[in-house]
Amino acid sequence: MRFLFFANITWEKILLLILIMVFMLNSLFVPYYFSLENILALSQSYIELGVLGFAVILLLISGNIDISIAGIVAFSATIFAICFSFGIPIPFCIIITLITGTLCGILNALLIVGFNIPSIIVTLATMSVFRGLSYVLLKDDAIYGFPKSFTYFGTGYIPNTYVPLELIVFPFLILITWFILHQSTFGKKIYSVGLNPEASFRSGINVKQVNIIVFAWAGFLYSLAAILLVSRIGSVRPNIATGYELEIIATVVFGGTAIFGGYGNVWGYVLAFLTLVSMRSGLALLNVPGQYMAIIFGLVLIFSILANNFINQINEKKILEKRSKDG
Amino acid sequence: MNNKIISFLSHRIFVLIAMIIILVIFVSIGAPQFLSERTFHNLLNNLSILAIVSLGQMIVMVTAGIDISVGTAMGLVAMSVGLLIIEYPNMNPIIAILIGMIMGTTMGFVNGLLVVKGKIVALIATLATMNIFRGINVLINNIFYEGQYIGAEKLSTEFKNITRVEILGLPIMIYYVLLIYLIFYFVLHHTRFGRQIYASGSNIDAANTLGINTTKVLIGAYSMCGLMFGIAGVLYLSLYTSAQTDTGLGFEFITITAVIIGGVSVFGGSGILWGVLLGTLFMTIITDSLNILKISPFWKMALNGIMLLSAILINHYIETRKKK
Amino acid sequence: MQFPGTKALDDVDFKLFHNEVHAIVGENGAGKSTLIKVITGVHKPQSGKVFLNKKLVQWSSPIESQKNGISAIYQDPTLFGELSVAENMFITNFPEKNLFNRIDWEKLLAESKRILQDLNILNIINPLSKVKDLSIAQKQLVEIAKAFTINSKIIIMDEPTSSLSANEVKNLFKIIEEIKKRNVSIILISHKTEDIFSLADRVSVYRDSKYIITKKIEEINKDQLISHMVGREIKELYPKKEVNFGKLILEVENLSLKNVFSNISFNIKSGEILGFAGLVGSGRSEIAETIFGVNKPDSGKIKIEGKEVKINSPIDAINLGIGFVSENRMEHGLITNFPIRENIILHKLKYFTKNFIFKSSNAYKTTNEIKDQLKIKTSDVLQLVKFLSGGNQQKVAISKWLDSNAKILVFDEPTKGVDVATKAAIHEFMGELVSRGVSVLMISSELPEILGMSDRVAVVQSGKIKKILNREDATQENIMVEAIS
Repeated sequence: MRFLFFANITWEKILLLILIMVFMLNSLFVPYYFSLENILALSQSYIELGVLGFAVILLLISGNIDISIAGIVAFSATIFAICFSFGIPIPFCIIITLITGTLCGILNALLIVGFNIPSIIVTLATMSVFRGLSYVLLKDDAIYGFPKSFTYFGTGYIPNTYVPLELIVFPFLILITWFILHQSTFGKKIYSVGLNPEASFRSGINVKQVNIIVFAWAGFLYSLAAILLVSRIGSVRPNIATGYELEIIATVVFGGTAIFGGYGNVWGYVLAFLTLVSMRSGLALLNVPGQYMAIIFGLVLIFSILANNFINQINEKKILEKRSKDG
Repeated sequence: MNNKIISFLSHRIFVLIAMIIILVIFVSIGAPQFLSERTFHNLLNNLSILAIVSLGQMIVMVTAGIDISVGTAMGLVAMSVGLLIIEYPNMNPIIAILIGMIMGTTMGFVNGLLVVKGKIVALIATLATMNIFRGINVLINNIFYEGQYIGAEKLSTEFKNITRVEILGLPIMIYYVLLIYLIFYFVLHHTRFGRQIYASGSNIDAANTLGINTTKVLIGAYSMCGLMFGIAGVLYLSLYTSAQTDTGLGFEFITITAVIIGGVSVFGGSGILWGVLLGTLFMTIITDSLNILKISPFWKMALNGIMLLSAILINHYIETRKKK
Repeated sequence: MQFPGTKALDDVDFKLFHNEVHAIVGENGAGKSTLIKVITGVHKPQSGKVFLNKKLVQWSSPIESQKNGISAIYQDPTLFGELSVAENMFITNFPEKNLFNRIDWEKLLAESKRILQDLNILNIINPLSKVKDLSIAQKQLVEIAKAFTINSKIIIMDEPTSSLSANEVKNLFKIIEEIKKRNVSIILISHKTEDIFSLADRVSVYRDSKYIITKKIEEINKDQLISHMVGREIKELYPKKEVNFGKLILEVENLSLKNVFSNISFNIKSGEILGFAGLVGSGRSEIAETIFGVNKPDSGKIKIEGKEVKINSPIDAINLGIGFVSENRMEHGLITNFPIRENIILHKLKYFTKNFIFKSSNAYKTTNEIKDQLKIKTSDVLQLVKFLSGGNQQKVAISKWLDSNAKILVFDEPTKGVDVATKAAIHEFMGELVSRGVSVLMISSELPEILGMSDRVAVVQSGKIKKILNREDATQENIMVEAIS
C-alpha cells in the first residue's frame, strides 16, 4: 500500500539509508567484513528467523499478534525429532511436521475467532502450552543423529558459492508474500481486516476465514522454519528457538509493519532483515556476545515504533494541509 | 458503591476460595505430607514473591495494559542488589530494600514512558524492555562478577534474615504481602488516584476529555508495578539466596495467569486485588503440589499454559453470560 | 483559530447571557465544536479573547474552565462503565477526608443522591449502579448530573437528543427547564430545529468558520434559520417523485430474535421506500441488521423476490442484493484508513478479481464513475477516506452500494449528523434509486424525514411492528401514538 505514505519521507527510504550506513560502519570497524560473500555466508544462522518474519508480517497486518511463534517452532521441531526417532523416513517426518505447524496455527485461530478473545492473550497462553508440550515430550533430552542428506541442506552452500542452501527459500517467500499482500484480492482483505474488522464484516468479508487462513499459513511457515533449524543445528532440545519472539517482531516492525494492523509491506521487511543481519554479523565478528543482542533488538524495536509514529505524525499534518486546499 | 461491588466480586472470590479448598483436599489425599507445616511455610514463601509481582501486574492490567518485563526486571533487580551486597557486605538490609524499590520504580517508569508517551503498545514495549533488562543483567554480571552466579555464601546473614524470621508461627514474608496488599487496597479503592486508574482503564477517551491526567495515571500505574517487582527482586535474592542471569525468566506468564484467574479483565477497568491474591495462592498450590504428587516437573510449563487458557475461557464465558 | 491547513474559527463572536438557553447552529465543519473547545479550554485561541463575567480568561486546560463553572456534555458519553454512577459523577473531585486523602464514601453517596434528587431523577437512577448497566438515556442524565457536581454556571450540550427517544426528549426538556430556574445558562448545539425552537431563547448561526448572526428565537423562523446556515435557499429537502411500484422484492414473515424483536412481518415492493419509525432502542436497527445477516434470527422467514432465503452473514445478504448503510459510518460503514476506491468496491471484490489477482485499474475506473455520479469531492479516489469531509464520507458510505446488483438498500439514520446540503443530496439520491426500481428500507428518528420520504411507514415499538401506515395516513401524531404506547 504505497499510498499510505503520501509525503516524500517513506519508511523504506529510511531503511535503505540505514542499511547503507550499517554496511559502511561494518566495513570501517569490522575486519574482513565488507564483501557480499561474507554477508551471505553469515546470514546462514538467521534464515530461519527471516522465514518466520514472513509469517508475522501477514499476522500483524491482519491485526493479530502472535507470541506463540517460538512455542510452535519448538513443538514442530519436537514432533519432527520424535517422528525421526521412531524411524519414520525424513520426507514423511517433514510432511507430518508441516501439518503439525499448520494445525497449531489453526488452533490459535479457532480460539481467537471462536471465542472472540484478543490474539495477544490467546497466544500468550498457547505459547506456554506448545513449548510446555515440547518439554513434556522430550524432557531434558536432545534428539540428534539426523542423516547427512538432511543436515546438508541446513549447513551447506550452493556449490562453488558462499550462498547458504537455506537461502533458496527466500526468493520464493518474498515472491509469495509480495503476491499475497500486493497483488491478490486476499491481500486487500488482510489489510481491510487489520484496519477495521467490523466494517470489513459489514462489507461482506469473511473475517473469521481471513484470520484462520493467516494463522494457518503462519503455522505452516513456523514448522518450515523449524525443519530448517533442525537441519542446520542437527539436534532438537525443548528449549530450541527460545527468545525468537523479540527478534522477529523487532525485524518486522523495523521493516515498517505496524503492530496495530493495516500497514506494512514486504520490501520494508526485506530491507530490515538485511540491515539487521548485517548488523548482527558485524557485531558477531567483533566478538560481541549473543546475549547482548537482546538489548540491541529491544532498542531497535523501540526505536522503530517511535520513529514510525513520528513520521506518521508529520505525514498526517502534511496531508491535512493538502486537504484544506482541496476543500 | 462498596455494597454493589462487593456483592458482585465476592461471587468470584467465593468461587476461588472454594476451588482452593477443593484443590487442597485433592492434593492432600494424593500426598498427605502436603499438609505439613514445612510444606505450608514453603508454600507461603513461594506465594509471597509471586503475589507481590502479580499485584503490580494487576495494576497495569486494570489500565488495559500489560507488562511482560516483570520477570526479567525482577531478575535484574535481584542481580544488581546482589552485586551491591557483594561490594558492601555490611550494607543494611533496609538500604537494600530501598535500592530495590527505587530501581524497580524507575524501570517501571521507563515502561510507562514508552507505553504512554512513546505510544508503543504495552505488549511490545515490555517485550522490548524485557529483553533489554535481561541483556543488562548479563552485562553487569559479566562486568562485575565475571559471569558467575550469586550464591548464599555471599549474602550477609542479616540480609537473609529479612525473609526468614517467623512471627506468630508464620513466615514474615506473608506479613510483607499482607501489608503491601492492604496499602494498595487503600490506594486503589479509597483514593482519587486509584479510582482514576480504573477510570482510565475503563474508558481512556472519557478520562482525557474530563481532564484526568491520564499520562500521570498510566505512568504511575507502570511505576507502581515497577515498585512491586523491585521489592520482589530484593526479597527473591534474600529468600532464594541466588541471582542469576536468567532469574525471573518466564515469571511474567505466571503473574498474568494469576491476575486473570483473579478476575481482572484484560480489557481493563475492573478487578480486585484480593482476587489476585487468591489466584496467586491457587497457582502456587498447583505448582508446589507437582513435586509432592511426583508429577514430572516438565509438566510445569504446559500446565501453566493450560491454566491460563482455561482462565481466559472461563472469564470469557462469565462475561458473555452476564451480557445476556 | 488555525489548525494546520485550516481556519477552524475566523473572527468569531459569541455572547451568552445569564439564564438563557442559547442555541448554536451550523453545518458540519462550521466551527461549532471548535468554538466549544475554546470555551471549555481544550484549545487556546490564537487570536481574540474570551471573557467570563466580563473578566478576561485564558484557560490552559479543561479543568480550569470546570473550576470556573463551565461544564460540557458531549455526544460521546464520557462515562466509565465499570464505575458506579456516584463515582462517575465525582471522578475528578472526590470528597476526601483524613490525612491520606481517603475518599469519603458516605459524603459521596449523600452528595450524589442530593443532586439526582434535585434534578428529579433519583427515581430513575441509582447512584450505586454501575454505569455500564444503564440505558443510553439514563447515561445522558448522569452526564447532566455530573454538571451539577461542580456548581456549573454554564452547561454546554452537544446534540443532547441525538440518541434519545421522543419520550426521553420530553423528559430532558423538563430537566432543562428546571436547570434554567437555577440561574444556569445553557449553550445548546443542535441540528434539530424542533429542539431549537422548543428550548432556545436565542440562536446564533455559524457558517464556514465564520459568525453569521444571532437572533431571538421569536424573531426568526425555520426556513430563515436554515437559509442562514446554508447561505442559500434549500427548496426541497424532501424531494418526492412519483414512482411506479413493481413486484414484491422483500418479504419478512414472523422474524424473531429473543429479547430484541418478535414477529416482525412486512414487505417492500420494488421502487418503494418503507420508513421505519420508532423510539431509539425500539429494535429497528437490529431488525435491519438481521436482514443484512449481522444477527441471526431465532425464527421467521425472509423471502427475496418470492424465494425463501437464509441469510447467515453479510456475505449472503450482499450476494442476494441487499446493501446496508450503517448509522455509525466511521466505525461500521467505512474503513477510514483505506482509499476511497477500496471502500467503494470492498463488498464486491470478487468482481474485480481474476485468478486471485486484484484488478486495480478496473476498480479505479469504476470508482471514478461512482465518484462523478454522487459528486464526491476529492482530488483522487485513491485518497484515504479519513481526509474527506463528513458529508463526503457519508456519500462514499452510500455510493458503494450503487450497483446494478443492489435490489434492497437499508439506510440507518442516513442523514444523522450531516449538514443540510448533503442531507438534500442524499434524499435526492434516494429518490433516484427508487426510480430505478431499488427498494429502500429507511430507519430514521427524524419524523419530518420519515414523513417526507416514505411511501409507507412501519412504526416499531419495543421490538414489534405496531402499525404500518400509508403515506396519506401518516402524521407525526399517529406515528408517535404507536411508537410510545
